[in-house]
Amino acid sequence: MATVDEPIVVESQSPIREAMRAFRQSWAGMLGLILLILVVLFTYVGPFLYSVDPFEVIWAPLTAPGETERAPLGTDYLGRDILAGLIHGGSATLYVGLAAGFITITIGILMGAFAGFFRGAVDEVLMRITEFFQVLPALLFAMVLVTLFPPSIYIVALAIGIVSWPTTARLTRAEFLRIRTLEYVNAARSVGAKNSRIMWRVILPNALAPLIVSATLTIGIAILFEAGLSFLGLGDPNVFSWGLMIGAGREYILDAWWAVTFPGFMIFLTVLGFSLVGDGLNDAFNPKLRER
Amino acid sequence: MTSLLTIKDLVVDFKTRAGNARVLNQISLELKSGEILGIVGESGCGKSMTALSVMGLVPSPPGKVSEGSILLEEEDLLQASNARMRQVRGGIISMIFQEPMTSLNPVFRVGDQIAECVLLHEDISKTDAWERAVEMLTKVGIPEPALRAKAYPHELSGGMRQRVMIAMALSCHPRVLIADEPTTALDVTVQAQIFDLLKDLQRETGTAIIMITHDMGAIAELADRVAVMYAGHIIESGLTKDILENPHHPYTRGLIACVPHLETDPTEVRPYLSEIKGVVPSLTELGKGCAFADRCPYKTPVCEERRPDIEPISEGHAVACHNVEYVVAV
Amino acid sequence: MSDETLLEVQDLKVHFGGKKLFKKAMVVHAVDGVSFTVPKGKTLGIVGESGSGKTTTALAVLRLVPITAGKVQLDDLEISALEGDELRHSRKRFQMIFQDPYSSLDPRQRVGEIVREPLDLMDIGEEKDRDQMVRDLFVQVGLRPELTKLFPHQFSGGQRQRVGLARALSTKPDLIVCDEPVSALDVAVQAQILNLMRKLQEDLGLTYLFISHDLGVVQHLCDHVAVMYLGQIVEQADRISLFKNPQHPYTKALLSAVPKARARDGSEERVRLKGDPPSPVNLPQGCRFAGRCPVAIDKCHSVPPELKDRGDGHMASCHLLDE
Repeated sequence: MATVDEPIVVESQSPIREAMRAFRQSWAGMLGLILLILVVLFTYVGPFLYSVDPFEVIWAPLTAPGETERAPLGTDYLGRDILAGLIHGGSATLYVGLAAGFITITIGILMGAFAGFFRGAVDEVLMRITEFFQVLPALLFAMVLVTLFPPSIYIVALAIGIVSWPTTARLTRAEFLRIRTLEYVNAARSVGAKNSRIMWRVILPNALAPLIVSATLTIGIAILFEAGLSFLGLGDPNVFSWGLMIGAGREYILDAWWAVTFPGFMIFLTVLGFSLVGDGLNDAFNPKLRER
Repeated sequence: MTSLLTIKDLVVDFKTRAGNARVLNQISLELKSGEILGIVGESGCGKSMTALSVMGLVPSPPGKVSEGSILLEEEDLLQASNARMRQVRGGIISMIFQEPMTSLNPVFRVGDQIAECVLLHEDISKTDAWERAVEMLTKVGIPEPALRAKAYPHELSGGMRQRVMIAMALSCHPRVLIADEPTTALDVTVQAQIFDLLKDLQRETGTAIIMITHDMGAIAELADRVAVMYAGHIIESGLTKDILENPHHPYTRGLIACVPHLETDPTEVRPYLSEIKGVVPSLTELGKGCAFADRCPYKTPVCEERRPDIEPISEGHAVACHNVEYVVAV
Repeated sequence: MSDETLLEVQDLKVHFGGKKLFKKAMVVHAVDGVSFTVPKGKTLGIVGESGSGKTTTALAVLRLVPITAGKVQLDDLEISALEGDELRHSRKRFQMIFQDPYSSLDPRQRVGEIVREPLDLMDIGEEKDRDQMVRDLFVQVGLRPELTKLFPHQFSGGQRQRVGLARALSTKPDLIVCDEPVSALDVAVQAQILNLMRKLQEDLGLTYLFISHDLGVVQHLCDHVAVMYLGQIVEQADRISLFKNPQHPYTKALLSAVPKARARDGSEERVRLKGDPPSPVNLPQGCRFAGRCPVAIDKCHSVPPELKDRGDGHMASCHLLDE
C-alpha cells in the first residue's frame, strides 16, 4: 500500500479489473464460460459446417442415433435430422433467453431504482405494482400473453420478461436503499450532482454487481421458461428451438428417447453454463471471498 | 498473586494473497488472578487476535497458531481438545465484543440467551437457569430485570445490550473475562457507566479481565497493567501508572502525545498535535529490523538490522527498544 | 482577527416522518430550534451523544436533509431559501468532510476523478487546467500527485480522508462542515488529519463547523463550542469558558465521563448519569435532560428552560441557573 512518503508509484487497481481477475480464478465461472462458448460456437458456427435444413425430412421417422450416416443423432417423428435441429435450435433459444433477460433487467432496474431512490409515495406505488406482477402465476400469465397474440419468439421473450422482472426490481431497490445512505452519495450531492447523475452514475454502478449475477441466472431461467412454453406447444412453430424439439418429441419419448434427450441436454448445458458463470461472478464481486 | 493465564512466545500466521502475515510475533503475556490487564494499540496491531487465540477462535484457514503456548494455570489450551475448549469458552474464559447489537441473537429473548449459556455449562434445571439470568441482569444494573429478561435485543438500547452481554459473559462465573473494545460503539456517558460496572463486578467476583482497547483513556480508567502492541509485537508493558506517566518506547510516547486530551483548564495557545509519521507497516512486509523503525524519530542503524527483544528496565516495566536510554534522556 | 459572522443559523428545525402513505405518522424531532453563529475563519464545534441531532444539524446546514423551519444564512447567501439549480451551483461555497473514509469515496471512481468531479460539475477553471488543479490539491493535502490514478481501496483510512479534504477544498468554499472527520481513524492518523485541518485553516482562512462526540478533539480544534442534547443546544460558549467553567449539568456530566489518559488520583468529582439518552420521538414535556439530570427539581419536569446568556456570551439553558 502506498504511503505519503513512499517514492514508488503504485499501479492502479480498477475494481472491475480486480473482479475479472478473481473471476478467472473461479473454476465454476471459467467452466461455465467454456460451456457457454462451446454452446455459442455450436449454434453460430455449426450451420456452416453442417448445412442440413432442420425442417427437411431426410430419413425414416424415429431413426435411432447411429443407424444411418445421414442423421448421426437420429431423426424425429417426421424424419427430420436431430443434429440439424440442435444446431439451428440454439439461436432461437439463446435469443429468447438474452432478450427476456434484457427486458427483465431493464424494467427491474428502472422500477427498483426509482422506488429505492425516491422512496415515500413513489416507492409505495411502484412496489405495489411490482407485487401485483409478483403474485401473478408466471406460467399461466405467460401462456395467456402467448395465446392472445400470434405466437412468435418476440412475444415469448416479452412474456417471460414481463413475468420475471419483479425479483430484479426488488433487488435493485434494496441495493439503492442501502447505497443511498452511504456517504459518497451525500458527497456527490454536496459537490452539485443532480438526482439523475446520482441515480445512474453514482448509485447504479455500485449496485451492478448483484444485478449482473442475477441477470445471468435470469437468462438461464428464461431459457427453461421458453422450453416449458414450447413443450406445451405455445412456442413459435415457425422457428426451430430446443424447447420446440422437446415439445414435438414428448409423445414418442418411450420409443425415441433421442428426440427429447439431446435437446434437453443442450438446454441443460446452456442453463448450467449461465448458472456457473453467475456463481463465478458472485465470487468475483464478493470481496470477502476474494481475500481467501 | 498467582498467574492465571500465561501466554508464551505465541506466533500466529495468516495466509494472504500478498504472502504470509505474522499477525502475532512472539507474544508473551501474563494475567494474574483478579487483575485487569489492558492491551492497547491501533487497528491491525494484533490485540484482537491475541484475544481470539486465547479463546481458540483464530479463523483457520487462513489463520494458524504456529508456535507458543497459552497456559490456563498448568493446562495448555493450544493442546486442548475441541470438547475441552467448548467447556473453557464461556465457562472459564468468556468474552464480550465491541458491537452489542450483532453479538446478541435478535430472535431470542435476552433472558433465554443468558439461560442457554448457563445450561451449556452447568447441570441445572431450566427454571434455575432463568432465575440465574434474572439475577445476572440485576447484577449488571438493569432496572426491572425480571421484565427486561423477556425483552428482545432490539427493544433495548445500546448500553443495555452491552450490559446484557456482560451478564451473559459472567453468568457462569468465569475466571477470565476478555473485553474487546466493549465501549467503542457507546456514547461517553454510557461508556462511563460500563467502566464503573466492570470495575465493581471485578471487585465483587474477582474475575480477571483482559481489556482490549485503542483508547489510553479507557486504560487509565480501568487497567492495573498495560501491554502496548504494535504490528504484532508487544513493545512495552508495565503498570498503568508507569506507562502513562513514564512511557519509554517511542511508539508509546507518540501514542500518548498525539491524542488531544481533554483538559479542565485549557490554555489560550493550542500547539499542533505531535504526530507519528507515516502509517502502520504491512504485516507481510516486515523486515528483520524493529517494526517501528520506519516511523521512529530515534532510529539508529541497529534498528533496521535486528528486532529488539522486550527486556525489563525496572520492576514490572519492560520495553522493546534498542535505544531506550537515549529515548528517555531526550 | 475579524469577528465578522460567516454562518448564521436561526431557529433551525428538522423533523422527520409524518408523511407515509400507508403507515402511521411518527414525528422525530431530530433538530428542534437550534441557533448559532460562526465567525469567519473560526471553528464552531458541536458536541453531543448519539441522537442529539448534531449530524442532522450539519446536514441541514448543507441542505442535505429537508429543513422543516428556520433560516441558514452564509454571508450574503440565504442557504435555506435556495432551490434547484441555484442551490446546486451555490454548493461550491459550502462543502463537507464526512465521517467514514471508507464509504465517503465512490469505490468505482479514481481518486483523481473524485477530486475533479466538483470542478467539472461547478464549471470551475478552464477545462485544460483542471488536471493540474487536482494535482495541486493533492499536494495541498499531503498526497503525492502521482496517486490520482489510483482507486480509493488502495489507500489507508487517513489518506482517504485527505482525498475527502481535497474534494471539499476543490471548490474553494467559505465554509467546510466536518462530520466526525477523525472518529473512524486510528489515533496516530487522527493527529495527522487534525494538524492538516488546522494548517489549511490558517493558510486559506477556512471556517469550520465541526461535529464531534470527542470532547478532547473539540477542545483542541474549536474556538467556540455548542453542546447539543436531544435536538437542542443546552450550552454554548467560547472554548475556554466552556471547558473551564461548564454551567449545564449535562455538560458537566459529559466532561466528567471522558476518561482522562493519566493515572487515577481520585481527586476529581465524578458525575455519573443514569440510563441512556431518550429517543427524539417521545419528547418529555419540560427540560429534555430532566429524566437523567442528577440535580433536577420539580419545575424541570414541567417547564422547558430557556437558553440564556450567563455572562460574556456563555449561554446555558437550565432552571437552576435562573435562581
